[in-house]
Amino acid sequence: MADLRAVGRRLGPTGDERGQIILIAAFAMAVTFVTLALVVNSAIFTENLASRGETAGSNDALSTRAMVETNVGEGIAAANRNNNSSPSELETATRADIRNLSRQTGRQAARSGRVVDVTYQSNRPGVRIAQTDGSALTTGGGVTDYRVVGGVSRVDGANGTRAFEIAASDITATDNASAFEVSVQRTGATGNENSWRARIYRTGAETVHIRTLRNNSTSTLVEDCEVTRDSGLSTFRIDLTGGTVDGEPCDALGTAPSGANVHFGAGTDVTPGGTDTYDIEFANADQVTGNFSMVVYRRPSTTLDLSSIGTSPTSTTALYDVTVRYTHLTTDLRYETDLRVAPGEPDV
Amino acid sequence: MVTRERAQAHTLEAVVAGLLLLSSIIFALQMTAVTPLSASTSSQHIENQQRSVAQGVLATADSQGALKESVLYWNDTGGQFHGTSDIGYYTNDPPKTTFGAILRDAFDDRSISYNVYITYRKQGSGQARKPVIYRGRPSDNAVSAARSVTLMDDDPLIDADGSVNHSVNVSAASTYPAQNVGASVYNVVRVEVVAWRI
Repeated sequence: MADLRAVGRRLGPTGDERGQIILIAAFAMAVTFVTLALVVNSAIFTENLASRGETAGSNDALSTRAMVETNVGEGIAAANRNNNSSPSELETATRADIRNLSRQTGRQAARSGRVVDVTYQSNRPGVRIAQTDGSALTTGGGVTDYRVVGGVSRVDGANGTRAFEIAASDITATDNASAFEVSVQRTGATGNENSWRARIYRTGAETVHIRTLRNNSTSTLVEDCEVTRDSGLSTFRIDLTGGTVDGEPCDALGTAPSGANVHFGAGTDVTPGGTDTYDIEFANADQVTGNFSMVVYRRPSTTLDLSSIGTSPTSTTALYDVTVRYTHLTTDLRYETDLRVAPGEPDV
Repeated sequence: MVTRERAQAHTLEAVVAGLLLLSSIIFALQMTAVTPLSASTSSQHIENQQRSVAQGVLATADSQGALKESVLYWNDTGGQFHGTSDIGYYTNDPPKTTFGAILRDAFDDRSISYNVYITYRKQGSGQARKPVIYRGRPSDNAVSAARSVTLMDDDPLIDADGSVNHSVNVSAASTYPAQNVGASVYNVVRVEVVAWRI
């Protein structure tokens, strides 16, 4: 073995001690390579973890839940349309729809290794008010200003009116003064106090203008929006509770650009879950021709004021909301919850 | 003698140093080999991204009612979706519905190809699967997302121009592929989007 370099000894022209330096340098480089490889590898592993998302599959459970909610909503809407002769018939039809839906969704989910089950739990009663003959939105007797429904309560934590849609084949009013007005006011309030009003008129052949006025007891907030429908459509579809006109969002029916809440019935100060009630009225109803439909909540053991409603528009017993038990099982996850379904319900 | 042993020792040391360097380089290269995250068309990142886009497309279409519209975009006389050739499914352009427009905006501009299938329960037992848009066999790293749509007996078919066909609803249609399997619920149709990078 080569000797270590003696202290003070001069290097010869042959470089006697170079072999050791090569070895030490190679060793140092090897250590550097291995360290770098470890650093790069841990970065790859971190990236791998970061791209995994959550692994238990709760994302899947929640998206299936949203899907079930939509599908149960379809079932309720169909039962309200077609099986509305009595509350028991409504419940039977809804139960059958949910059973059928659960069975088919369950089979589809089973193919991807999941168990999904939906069972009917309970419902809350309501009344559906609708016009389907395409005439002016007046009463059958031609009255233009009338109370559509009185004494509507709000369900706990939510609104008391849902799926209020107008399909207008014609809107004749062209200014704010003569506009068709939907007014929601706390029962017994005077003037415009505690009210929410929406005025609907046209500012062009294809453009509809909606102005909402929210009166708390002290101040009035006015919001406007305008939507131009796609060419070729023969109706304006105005969804007052969903806040859209022909599928396009209208700020004046939801959250205003200022952040103010102008959802359907805002400003009436009717407490959700309480015994307070509000009334829904139409004014200048001859300005709009077409159909409309809405479902309002009827607090058990109370009656709604439907004195102006006859054959067109007409009212039928309906389900306001339905609660179902939703179960989602996978090998890693068990998710079970009660789901309240009220399609087309706005925020309070 | 010290001087005579030097050459051998130096050679040995150089060989050992060479082996050391070589093995460390091989080790380092092995650690940074191709992983599922290396940049390529089959990267895990891209698959995750595509799956999210597909789920988003379905969720958006469903919330606008466009998914149901597309499922009911059926030509009852011809027994096929509107505007398809004799093979019965779309191959090049997606259907002229809102769902078709959403698919085009989300995937076509990004060189992502996609198939859309509907799956439904048959009368009696079993499931049937029918392509709506078919652009060929998906690659090995394709992703899929699905959403179910409930068809009710009184849901109307949609005309070629996108308007509601008031005269024929789905339960009265004579050639609609999914059959009536419930009292008021017509059928529950699962819409599946399979997407892959080309």
